[in-house]
Amino acid sequence: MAYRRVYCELSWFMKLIEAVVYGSLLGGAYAVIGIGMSLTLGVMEVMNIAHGEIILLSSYLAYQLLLLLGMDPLLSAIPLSLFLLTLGFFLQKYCLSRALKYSVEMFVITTLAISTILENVYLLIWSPMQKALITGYLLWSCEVGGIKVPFVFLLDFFVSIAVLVTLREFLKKTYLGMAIRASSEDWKIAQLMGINTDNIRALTLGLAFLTAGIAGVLIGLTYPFSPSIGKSYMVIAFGIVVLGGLGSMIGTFIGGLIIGLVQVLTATFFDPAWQLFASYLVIFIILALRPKGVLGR
Amino acid sequence: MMEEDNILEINNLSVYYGGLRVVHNVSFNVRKGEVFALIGSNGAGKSSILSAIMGLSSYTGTIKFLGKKIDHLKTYQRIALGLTLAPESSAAIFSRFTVLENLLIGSYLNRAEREKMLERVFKLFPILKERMNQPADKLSGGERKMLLIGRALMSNPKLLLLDEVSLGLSPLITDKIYEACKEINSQGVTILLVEQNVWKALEFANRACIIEAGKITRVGKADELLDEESIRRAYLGL
Repeated sequence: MAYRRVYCELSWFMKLIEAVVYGSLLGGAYAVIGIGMSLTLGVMEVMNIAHGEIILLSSYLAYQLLLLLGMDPLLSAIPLSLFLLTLGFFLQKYCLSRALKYSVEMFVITTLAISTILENVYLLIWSPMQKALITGYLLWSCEVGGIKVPFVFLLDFFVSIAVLVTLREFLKKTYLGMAIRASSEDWKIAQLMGINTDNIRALTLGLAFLTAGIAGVLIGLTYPFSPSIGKSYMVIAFGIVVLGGLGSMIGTFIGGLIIGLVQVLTATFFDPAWQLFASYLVIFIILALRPKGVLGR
Repeated sequence: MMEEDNILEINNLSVYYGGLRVVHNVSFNVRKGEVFALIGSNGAGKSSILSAIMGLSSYTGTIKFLGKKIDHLKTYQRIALGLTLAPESSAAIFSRFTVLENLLIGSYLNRAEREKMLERVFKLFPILKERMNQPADKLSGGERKMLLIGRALMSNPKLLLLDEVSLGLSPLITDKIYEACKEINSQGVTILLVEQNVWKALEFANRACIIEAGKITRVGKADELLDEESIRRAYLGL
């Protein structure tokens, strides 16, 4: 009897450790989903409703490149991110800037339109069926202290950290990065520094798209995707950014970790159907106690 | 006065906020190398004129800089020509930046000369060098003003617009800042000054104009204006 109790407790403890490890690693992938949203919300002070569909665009294009050319998704992440950087830049410069000049609401409605258009395009081209980026290394895993960790989870985590650190250094150390930060504080004063703030807005959306491109490949490697899942990405990204604190890269990472942990712990000890509910309950409680988020200014 | 001696020519300038006209058909010139002051009470429209010159407010009329119309240019293009503004509000510093970062962003269009300009700014305001790694929002009011002027200088301007240099500062700090402004002017930078402290402004400026309710009521040499009975009574309480 005593042996059985010890065994149950040990098994429960192992399950907890496993959930914490998986949750943290998944949190890394969530952080990448959130970075783009963090940039648009923190710097441009607007919400891009199509953020999830842009992530999905990268997943689908990586899928197509894998299917047609046999290109490894990790390799295709490079041209896809550069393509999305360019797309984001020109979309803001020649289309969304007009909406934004009119009002923030118009920008949001325009991105809602883009989101709906993209979702329907995905349905037309790739059908409502789920797709996945299937590669050989999906089966790889490593065992640490008796816990089997899939390679893609580690990939999500470490690529996420690399993206966050690179972006942070770019924002801190380069003139363009400083111009983005200056513009996020005060557009008018930034103009007095000689900064072309229209171009900086376009670059910001371009960078948000670039990170969405990386997120699309990572998430596509981790989970199957379908045309309607973009909205869920957007909801998760929004939660992460608000939770972490607007304008803080480290906050976005911490927000990702919290949501990742809450989701995996809920799925392990309660019911996977309650994952999103539990995430938003935690977001609600944290924001009620600290409205500016964990590391918000 | 030859036209080419003017660095800035303002003709029939009217400035608008929303639908409201706050400056009415103002015309004046600023000559190369001089200090020109716009004097008037709070709300007279002085800062609105500076804002229009920088392309930050909507206006009618024409503004010429170095003999060329700049009305079609955006703010960053005007900065590239050699115009710059040190704003009135100490909130105009980038509070999330360090002092050094604030100065560096001022050289956004003048990166090649940034070391030289930094040296020049630190020579004018040694306190900024001492505090260069501190967050800018930890500076005192006077230090913030110095940072605003220093940051404006980083673009190596030909014409520096100074908005309310002495506002909210102690007489001692005001004197220090005016000393630095004299030094800046002696280095060949033309200054267009907006000031409520009429005494200080007229002491510092070569020429000045008085603005009341958005209109110019008097233009002349600063020392002559300082001697005028009506001005001494209205603005200096003498």
